[in-house]
Amino acid sequence: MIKSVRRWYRPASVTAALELLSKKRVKPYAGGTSFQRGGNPDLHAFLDLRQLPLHEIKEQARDIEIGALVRFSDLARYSFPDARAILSLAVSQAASNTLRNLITIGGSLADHPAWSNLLAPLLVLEARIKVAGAAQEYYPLPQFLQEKICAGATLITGVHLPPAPGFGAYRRWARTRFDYSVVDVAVYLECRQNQIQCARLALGNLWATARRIPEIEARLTGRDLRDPELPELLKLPPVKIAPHPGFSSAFRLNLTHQLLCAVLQQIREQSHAN
Amino acid sequence: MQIELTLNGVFQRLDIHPGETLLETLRSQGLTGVKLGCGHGDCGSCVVLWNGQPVNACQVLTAAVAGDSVTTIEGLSDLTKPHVIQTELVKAGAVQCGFCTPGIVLSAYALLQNKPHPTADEIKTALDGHLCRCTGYVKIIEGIQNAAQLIQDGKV
Repeated sequence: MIKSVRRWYRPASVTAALELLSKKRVKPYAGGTSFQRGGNPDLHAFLDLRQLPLHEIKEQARDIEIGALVRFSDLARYSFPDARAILSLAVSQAASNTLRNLITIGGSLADHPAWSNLLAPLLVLEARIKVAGAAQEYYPLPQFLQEKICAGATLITGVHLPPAPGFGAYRRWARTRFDYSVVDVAVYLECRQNQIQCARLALGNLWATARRIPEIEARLTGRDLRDPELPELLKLPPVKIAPHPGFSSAFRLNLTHQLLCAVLQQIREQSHAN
Repeated sequence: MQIELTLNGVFQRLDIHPGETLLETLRSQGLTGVKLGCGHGDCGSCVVLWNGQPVNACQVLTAAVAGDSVTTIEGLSDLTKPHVIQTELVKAGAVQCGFCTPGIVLSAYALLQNKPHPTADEIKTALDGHLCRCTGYVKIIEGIQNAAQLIQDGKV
């Protein structure tokens, strides 16, 4: 029980929600899982977001906009038309079936917990986060993560994904299916006649938030996808990673390289199949 | 505060604390088939159906289900006429202490509503939020497969 909570508001519009969020000690409630896992207990009221029209995944020309209240279970089942399918794969492996029926993409972005598997694929897909009540309407994900946009009377309303016509792959490693991943990797490559035109690579759970790795991206760009030296190029530059209670940094860096090699092989097979 | 919901098929008006969890509410209503295992969404023993979807009741605040439908194990069947999933789990030897079973039955029920012929992998995915310390899961999967077959064969 969250004893401090005294009332619930149920706004019917985003505008009404923003007005209510300007009150102190009011928090938006989407799936609710953040609050039961040690989320901020010092609340006076919750804002039930369910009546807001943010439950749909909309395809507009080739762009896709995911409403902030879309649940992980629905996202996992969605048939994305191109490499954006790695997002479905990633969220299908997050938490558990029963929790995926609660967790929303907006709520996960607001708190980006370690188990959500969301950030690495969104980074390589160059997602933009739609925020109501903020200085700008859309934020590129790296800017969104860095600037802590969600403080104050703002509300994540959606995630915009541009087309991803290239090849994508995602892998995670955890001790068990349900466990938080020790590391997860997402890679997106665009190739023309086997030459890598665009390389995007993101790693999660090695630091507080997932990151793109521009050094490796630069090494890959312009290379032939079939080049036998590519696996060597996937080795991480010397970086400090956040400590982990169960595994050494050396193990995790080696694991990361192994996962990247596996993902590269997967993309090679996709390319060959095409 | 007061909320209205449909609980096990019956319209109810409940007085609740605004910050109480669905698990707390259901157990206080005498629906003790919903178990408090971990209280953190890890074990699945508190799983109920919210608008037909299996969710961890310990992770939901009751006020959030206002106007919706919640089904517990008590709403699925009773001792006089157990659901086929329950009987097949028992026959398969999938019930030892029984603490995890109500949540598993509800997740399995929701799965079979959408996938009448689930593969073993699909059953495992549907149950990936349920921990069982007793059985090792093999008999649970077998029991659910048997139940699915009986339903498909029209034998229930």
